[in-house]
Amino acid sequence: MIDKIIYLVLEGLKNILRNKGTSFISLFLLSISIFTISMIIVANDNTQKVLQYFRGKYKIEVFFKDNISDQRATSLVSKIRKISGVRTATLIKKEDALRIFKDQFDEDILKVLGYNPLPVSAVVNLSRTKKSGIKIDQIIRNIKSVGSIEKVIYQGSLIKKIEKNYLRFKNKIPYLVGFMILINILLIVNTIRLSLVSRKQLINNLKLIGASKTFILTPFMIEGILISIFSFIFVTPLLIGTVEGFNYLVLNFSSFKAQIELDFTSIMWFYLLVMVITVLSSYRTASSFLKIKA
Amino acid sequence: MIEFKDISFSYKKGKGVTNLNLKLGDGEFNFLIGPTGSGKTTLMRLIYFDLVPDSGTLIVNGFKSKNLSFSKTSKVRKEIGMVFQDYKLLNDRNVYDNISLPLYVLGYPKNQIYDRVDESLELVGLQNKKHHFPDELSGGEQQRASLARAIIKEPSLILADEPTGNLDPVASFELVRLLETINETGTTILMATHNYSLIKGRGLPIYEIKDGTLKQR
Repeated sequence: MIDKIIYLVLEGLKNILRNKGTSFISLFLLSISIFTISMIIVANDNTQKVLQYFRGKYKIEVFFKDNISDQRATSLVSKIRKISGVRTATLIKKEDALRIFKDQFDEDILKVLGYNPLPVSAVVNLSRTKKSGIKIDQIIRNIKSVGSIEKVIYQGSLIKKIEKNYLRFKNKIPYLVGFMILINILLIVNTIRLSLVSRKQLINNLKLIGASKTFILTPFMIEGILISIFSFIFVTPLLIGTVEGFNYLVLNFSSFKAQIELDFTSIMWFYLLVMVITVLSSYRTASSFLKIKA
Repeated sequence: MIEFKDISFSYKKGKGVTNLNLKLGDGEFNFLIGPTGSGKTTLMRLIYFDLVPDSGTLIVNGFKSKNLSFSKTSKVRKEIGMVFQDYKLLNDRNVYDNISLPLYVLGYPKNQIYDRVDESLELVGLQNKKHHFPDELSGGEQQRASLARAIIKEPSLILADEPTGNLDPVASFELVRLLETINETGTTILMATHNYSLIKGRGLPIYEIKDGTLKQR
C-alpha cells in the first residue's frame, strides 16, 4: 500500500517532467492568473489606506469675524468638532496667528503695523475613515452655519475629485474583482483541461489494465497541486518584489508618502482557492475521460 | 469463464456483431479468425467491457456486462491480460515502466515488481531492452513488450487482438509458441488473427467471425 501511494505521488511529479511543454504552459498561465488577481487583492486591500493618506492632507481654514472674543471662538470650534465628517478642529487665537506668522515669515507684524491684523481662526481636519465618502459642500455649509464666520478656505475641487474617484473605484471594484476571478478560473480550468487532453492515451491505457478511479485520478490531482505550488513559489517573490519596488519608487521619486502593504492572509486564502480549483478541474477533466465509450 | 448469449452490438455509424453465441472454458486456447473489419476487435472489446452489448447476456469471470460499475469493470480487467495490435504502450515511459504498471495497479510491493518485470522480460526475450522507450524498439519488440505487460500479472485470461499483425512470419510463429507455453500453465487464451496459415494444424478450436456473425470452424 505504501509503495502504491509513493508510486502515485511520484507519478504526479513525473507527469510534470514527462510533459514539460504542457506543464510549462500551465505553470506560466497559472502564474499570470495568480499574479493578476493577487495584484487586484493588494490594490483592494490598500485603497482605504491610500484614501486615508489623502484625507489626512485635507485642511479647511475657518476665519472668524474680527470682533469675536476668544471665549465665543472656543465655543464655535467645539460646535465645529461635532459636525459629521470632522475629525479635529484647532482654534488659532490672534496671538497664536501672530507667532505662526513670525515663525513662517521671520517678521514681527505687530512691530511693523503697531497692531495685530490677523483674525481668530480654526484649522479643521476631516475624518479619514468615512466609508461613504466625504461630502465637502455639506461640511462647509454646516461649518458656516455655526455663525460669526468671515471666510472658509479649502481645496474644494481637489477633495471633490478624490472623493468622487474613490466612490467610483469602491463601487466598481467588486464587479472588477469578480470578473477577473471568473476569467482567471476559466483560464485555469482550460489550461488543466488542455494538459489532460494530451494524456488521454494514458488514462485509457490505465482504464484497460483495470486501474481504479483513485489510481487513475490521484496522479493528476497531485500534478495539479504541484503545479499550483510551483506557481505560488514563482509568483510570491514576484509579488513581494512588485510591492517593494512600487514602495521604493513612491518613496524616492514622489511626494506621496503612503506605502502599500502586502496582506499575506488574503493572499494565502486566494492561493488555497486556486489550489482547490486546480485540483477540482483536474479531477473533473480526468473523470470525463473515464466514461465507457460506445 | 466467458459466455456470449445472443449478443448484439452496433456502433453509431453501423456494423458491429449480431447474435453471438460463444462459450469459452477455463484453460482453453481458442483462435478467432476473420478478415479485417469482420468484428474480431469488437468481440474482444465486449469481453473486456470496453463496449456494452445492445442486447443479450455476456458473462466474463462471473460478471455480467449489464450495468457494471467502474469498480467492477476494473475488477474484471485486473484478471485479463490484453495484447493489442497497436501495442498501446505509453511512449513517454520506458519498457520497465510500461510493464510494471499493471503490478502497481494491483498493489504489488516494489521489490517483487523488480523481480517480476525481469522474469517477464526474459520470457519475451527483451531483458536487454528494459530501459528503452517504445519508439526505440522494432514493431516485433513492441509487440513482445505488450505481451510482457499482459502476462506479468499472471492473468486468468489473455486476449490477444491481432498480436502478429505487425510481425514477420518467424516472429509470428514464435509469439504463438510463447502463448501456447503460457496456456500450458492454465491461462485461458483467445487470440484473434486474420492469418489462417499461422494457426491451422495446431489442433486448437478456431472460431470464424464474418460480417459480425460467428461460427466454429
